[in-house]
Amino acid sequence: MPILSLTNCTIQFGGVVAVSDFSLAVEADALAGLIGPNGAGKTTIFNLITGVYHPLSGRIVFDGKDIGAKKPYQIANLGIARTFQNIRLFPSLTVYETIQAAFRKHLHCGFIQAITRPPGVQRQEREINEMILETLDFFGLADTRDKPALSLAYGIQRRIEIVRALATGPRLLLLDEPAAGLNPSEKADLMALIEAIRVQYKCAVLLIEHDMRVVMGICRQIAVLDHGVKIAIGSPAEIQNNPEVIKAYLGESA
Amino acid sequence: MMSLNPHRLKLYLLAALALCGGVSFFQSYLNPYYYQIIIYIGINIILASSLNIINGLAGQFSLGHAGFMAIGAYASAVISTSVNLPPDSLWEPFLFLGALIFGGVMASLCGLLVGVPCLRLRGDYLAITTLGFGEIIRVIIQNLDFLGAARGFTGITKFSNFFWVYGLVSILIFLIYGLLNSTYGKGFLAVRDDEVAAEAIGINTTYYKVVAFVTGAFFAGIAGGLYAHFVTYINPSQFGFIKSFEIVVMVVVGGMGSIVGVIISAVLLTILPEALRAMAQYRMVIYSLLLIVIMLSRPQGLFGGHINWRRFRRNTGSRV
Amino acid sequence: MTESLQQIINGISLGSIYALIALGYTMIYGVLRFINFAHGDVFMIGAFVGFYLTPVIHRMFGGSVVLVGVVVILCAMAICSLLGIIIEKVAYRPLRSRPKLTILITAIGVSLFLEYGGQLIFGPDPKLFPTIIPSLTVFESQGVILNVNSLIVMATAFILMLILRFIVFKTKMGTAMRAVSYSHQAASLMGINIDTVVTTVFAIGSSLAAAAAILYASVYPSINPLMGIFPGLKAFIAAVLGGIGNLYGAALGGLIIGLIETFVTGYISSTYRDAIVFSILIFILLLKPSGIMGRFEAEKV
Repeated sequence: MPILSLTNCTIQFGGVVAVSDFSLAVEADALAGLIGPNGAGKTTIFNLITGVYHPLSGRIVFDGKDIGAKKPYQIANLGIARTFQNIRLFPSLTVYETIQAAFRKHLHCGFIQAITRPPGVQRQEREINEMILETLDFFGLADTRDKPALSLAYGIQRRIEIVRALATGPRLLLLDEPAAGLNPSEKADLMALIEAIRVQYKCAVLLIEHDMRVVMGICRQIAVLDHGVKIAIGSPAEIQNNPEVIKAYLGESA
Repeated sequence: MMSLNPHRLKLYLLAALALCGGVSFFQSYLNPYYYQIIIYIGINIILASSLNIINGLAGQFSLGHAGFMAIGAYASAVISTSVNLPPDSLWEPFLFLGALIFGGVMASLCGLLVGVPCLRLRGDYLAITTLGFGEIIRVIIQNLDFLGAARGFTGITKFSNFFWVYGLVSILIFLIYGLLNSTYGKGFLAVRDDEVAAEAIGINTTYYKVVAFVTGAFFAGIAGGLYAHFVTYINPSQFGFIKSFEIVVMVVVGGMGSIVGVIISAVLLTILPEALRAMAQYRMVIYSLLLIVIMLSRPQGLFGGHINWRRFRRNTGSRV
Repeated sequence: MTESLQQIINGISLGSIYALIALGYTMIYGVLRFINFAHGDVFMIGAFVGFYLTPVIHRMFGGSVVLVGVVVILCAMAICSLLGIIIEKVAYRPLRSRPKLTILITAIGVSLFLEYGGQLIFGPDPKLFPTIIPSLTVFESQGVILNVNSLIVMATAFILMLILRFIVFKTKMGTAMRAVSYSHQAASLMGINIDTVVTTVFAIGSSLAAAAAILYASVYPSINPLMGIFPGLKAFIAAVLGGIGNLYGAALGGLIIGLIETFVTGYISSTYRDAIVFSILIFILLLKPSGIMGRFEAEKV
């Protein structure tokens, strides 16, 4: 039973059909990649999954529920987390506070309780504090805890964004070009990190990426998109030898 | 700024309230002119801080804050003047508290009414809409005869004193501080910083924006009630756009989102016009120049921290 | 029926004035995505420029009423366009990369500065705008009076709008303006100097406001430093109603608001006139934020 399935999804903006008749099934333990030339519609598909856009036609089903019409925060609460192509961290928050914001869903209290802080809420806050510190520790961010997130190195910012997404306890993690702007050693770390996440957090991972070494290196399954249309799907070996894929990236050979 | 131990907050609040009570025993020894200024400072702190919840903490524009103040002022005045208590009755503080809360609730209901439809509008448009609502509220009051219309509402008992005003200041600061430090409160900051990212981690941005609006409106209403029961006579022209603008200036000069900054600028900007009393006709000219200069040189205000560039920069053609 | 016809004429006349002001708002919003709160006060300055210049120009050009009128309008337009350019350069340009709230507050500051500064310099009391064109009835039939003033207002506004249309659609600068309104980045990559375009837009917008002011003062001769507030606000609402960013929309919106205002004053009451116009704004923003001919959504994030 795939945890996420898109069936015949189409969306257009004005006169441009960004994604056409797209279907994809992602298993609960998948590590899949979505590749394609620039402008193919990959981020648009992420936006469709996370509810930023709604498909003109087609269905999106996650964990048995139809999410095609839901709002982004509802989808996030159902268990889909994402990172962004251009890192979107919270500029005024420290690393600790960023993760704390993501742990918001573990706090069960309304406005009045947040102000009056009865013992129940205080206990939850203490527990959340533990969880935050544990998480920061696991990802090697413990010593940057009180630094403003945006003041850190780019590679670390990327890691924070991923950790923030994980803090919501997702069943599916969407990573949008996580390797962009990283040097080779950082990329190797990233690949190891993604594998570790899959094991530790038991979530499916779907990533958009341009760096073929990263994609071919960790993805078990790859879908290729060109001009909004899925032109191929298969294992890394199958994709590398697929003539349609080669044509899309490199053009027709004379 | 987070140096105060958040677990001791309730203790600090009780201490502050006790202090206010103590000081207010001596209030009659104070020169009435200075006393008046001190009361105005307190009311302005509440006004500016309540706007700070909307503007600084949740990142929403509101240029109609005086409208909420007006509702609180009139609603509380109606309650307190409808009940006839014998002078120096023991029930007086309860009547006043009830009137204040009623004013706050009325104002927050209005905040709900305005907030829910409008909070999906983008920055500039939200600003204009809140401005419009502020004016509409004022025009409505001006046309309601039972509220005294343009003649004003007289005969309000002077219930407000140091204890009430600064007691409520303490409560508001306690609330804001507690919110900021809690996990719940981080939701506001996330919404302020980047709504898209906030939604992606499961935060219901509309909920937070509405809560901020309603809370800000509630305390503006409280401030209005305190004001009405100090000046004992209110009329709609006191709550126009200029008043809203003055409150906005306090928040902007102090630094949106900064608790301390807003308090200090409320103090300064209450004293300044008094000090410039001799130059009353120049006041607005100086104010507006001050504002322009600050925006050009230090837009984050005196104490403001980070301004989120991404959140407001609207490049044509930007996407997620 | 004749009553309505009269209202319609008055409405179109007033609406043309609002249209001219609205065009300025919409052009500036188009290139900068920013509501210039101070625009209504540039309008006010235009009226005062006309007030002080008219006697002078009368003495210089004596006889011809038309000549005096044209020179006054041109001078007011020139001076106000200079004012607009200065305001943009000093107060808005340095803030272009800053958060929108900063520039919004600055604009409010500029607006208040012009208003209260005006009170200081010109004095807060209303002044009587000198008559340039003597009031003549051009046409009268069955109770409908067409005054030469109304005719001139409509004609002048129409001519100015034609000139604007020519500039925007048939000149290189106009194309540049339209390009910038779509994308700063793309436009500058094409070699367009954004600063020059913005300056030009402010110049044109402010000059239209000045022309509107002279026309307005000819019909409602009482001027004071706060006179720009309500016309400015209503013109802004007109621009939003017509679809902000769209020039035809601004003109259409202006006419509609002018007609609505005239009819409400005539048939309902003048006290609720402003409240009703405000409510229109709120309705549009809640129901169809992109306005009648909408281009930009007041989009939610």
